[in-house]
Amino acid sequence: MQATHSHPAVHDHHAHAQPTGLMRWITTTNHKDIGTMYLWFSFTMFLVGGILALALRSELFQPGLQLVEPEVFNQLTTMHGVIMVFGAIMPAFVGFANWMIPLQIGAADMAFARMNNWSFWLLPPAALLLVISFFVPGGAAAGGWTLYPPLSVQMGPGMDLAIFALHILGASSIMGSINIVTTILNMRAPGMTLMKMPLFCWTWLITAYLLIAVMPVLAGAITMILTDRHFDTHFFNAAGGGDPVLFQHVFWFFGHPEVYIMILPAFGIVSEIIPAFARKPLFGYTSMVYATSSIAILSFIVWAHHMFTVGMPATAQLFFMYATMLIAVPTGVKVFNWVATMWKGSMTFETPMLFACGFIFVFTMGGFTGLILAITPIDIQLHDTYFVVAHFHYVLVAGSLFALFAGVYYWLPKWTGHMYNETLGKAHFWLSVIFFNITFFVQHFLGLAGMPRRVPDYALQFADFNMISTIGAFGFGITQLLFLYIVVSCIRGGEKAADKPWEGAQGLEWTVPSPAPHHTFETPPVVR
Amino acid sequence: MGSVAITAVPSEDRKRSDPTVGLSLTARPNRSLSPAVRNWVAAGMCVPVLVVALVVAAQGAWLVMPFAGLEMAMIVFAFRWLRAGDSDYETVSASGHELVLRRSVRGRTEELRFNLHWVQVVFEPAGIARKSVLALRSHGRVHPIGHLMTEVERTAAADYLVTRIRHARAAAA
Repeated sequence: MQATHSHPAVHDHHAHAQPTGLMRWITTTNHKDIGTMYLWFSFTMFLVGGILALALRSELFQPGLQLVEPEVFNQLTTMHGVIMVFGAIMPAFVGFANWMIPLQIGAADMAFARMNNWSFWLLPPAALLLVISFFVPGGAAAGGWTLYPPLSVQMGPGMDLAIFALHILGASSIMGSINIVTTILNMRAPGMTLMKMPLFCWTWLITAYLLIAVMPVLAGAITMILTDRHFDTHFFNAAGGGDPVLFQHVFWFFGHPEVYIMILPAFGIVSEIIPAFARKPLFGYTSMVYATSSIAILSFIVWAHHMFTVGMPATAQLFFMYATMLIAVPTGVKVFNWVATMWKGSMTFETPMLFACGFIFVFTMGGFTGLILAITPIDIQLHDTYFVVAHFHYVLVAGSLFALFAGVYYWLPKWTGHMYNETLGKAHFWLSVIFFNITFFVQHFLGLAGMPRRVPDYALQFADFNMISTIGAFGFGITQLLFLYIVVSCIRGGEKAADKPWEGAQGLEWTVPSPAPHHTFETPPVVR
Repeated sequence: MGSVAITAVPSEDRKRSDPTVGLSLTARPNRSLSPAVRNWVAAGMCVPVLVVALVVAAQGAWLVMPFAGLEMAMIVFAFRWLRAGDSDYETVSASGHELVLRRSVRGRTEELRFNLHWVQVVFEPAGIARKSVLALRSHGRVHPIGHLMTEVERTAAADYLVTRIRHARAAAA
């Protein structure tokens, strides 16, 4: 009797079957590898979308047409939105889900590891389609990220590529969501009941449900555009008896939950970080779970606040106005709970906490402008102005993106085994928050003064604020290169990270070594 | 992740009467939800999709329906796949002078018998991007086991099997 180690017979069966190099990444089914690939992909797309944004801001630096033609400006606007929403923010959160959910619930991997690999590898071809659409006749899609007809029905093949890309990205999201739901519900470590799960898992569980519910709606809507374009259907063609407003209803029935898809996981990340650096348990865990669920449910009945100006009965306007305002209640519960968690906590302000606090402050401002826009008579005045642009960038940049930064700094030691440079991290935060506000705060004033969005030229009265906004945008963009440097430096070396580098951190992920081993849980997790 | 059950160590009297008693290792997949609850979860995912699709289709956007159907089919397939793995198990036990490996993978069961005195436990620790390998080898053939176990469970199972088989052989001799 003997125990044989590294025996050739075993090599024949298994060891050499494990690919290395590039093939490791192409064929991997490991949740950490796939999470890493999601995060790098999303950062790459963030840079691509950011470059498009800087091109937009360059054109808007001065009144008049300087750099691009109006139709190219519209293409840049559209692709900036599509790439940031579907290529940067969503995949980034899926990357976090891949990395952290199995670690947090004590599972060895995702429920469908091979499907997880497919989910990721659908993304690069879709991204490629979006990028190469700039080079086809007529250029990229230019109808805005909402793809409203009749513009989207009339455009060149760039729109077909965008529709194809969105289908692929949607398929990826659906596969990822099914994987996340089944992993969270079916693979929790013994003893980890639902109400003991980390908030990040809860928010992702609810997000995955939202994605599953609304993705077929998007797929159907863009397929109808496709058939209108090529098969002479008239779903949205008024001349053929169709209704362009139907598209708006259908799109926003997907689109508004989509907004929450991009913010609920951010709530989860912030809910992990604040207790860790306040060194107190999260205040009102149960109410946080119910508030998240409430936001998700309410997100299905508020879509028409995006289209108050299309003309709808006063009753409908009132319903959608009040329903939208109602969302402020569970959101307020969350903000209250985060602040209450900090109250009398033994707080320190490392970079993750700074970004989390920045998130609360700036996201709340975005929430308040959302409340303003929920009021129908005000929205009718501000519709399609820069006030709306400022509002959703406060929610999605200062909300989603700041939470993503917070999450990266928080879990980077666990991912890489090294501590990042704290000084540079803090510099990244302060520069980001300052330049963000320089970029977007002034856009409130532009919108209130009546500057329309998606227009490359503007009246002279808007010149100063646009100049300030462009300077801020370039500052914000360059600051993100600092983030790249910090992350790459951390991967390449640095101070060795402890298994639990944050004193107040709680959760199973901190029970495994740093960096987390390729196959998690060398000791079985115990949840009490 | 799996769950591994190792039988309790038997009394010394029982060991003396049958040296192989006590060598028993069973691995099953870990499932947080019972099959019944899982069915409810699947229904809870499909019903909102169907309701949303029906409402949108009723407004004229009927092309949502095939995509909703596809998605529901995918959800059902995923949950059926999970259910198919519920009854998976793998047991290693000793009977007389034989080591018996029984396993069921997605309804396909097999039983392999090894000569207790010839069988070898093969264990290769995990490496970077590579899981550990636990296998039983006899007469030139290698039979991997432990796919329902975590890394630590596979390591513990390797130690357990080596120790228990050695004891059983010594007692038999």
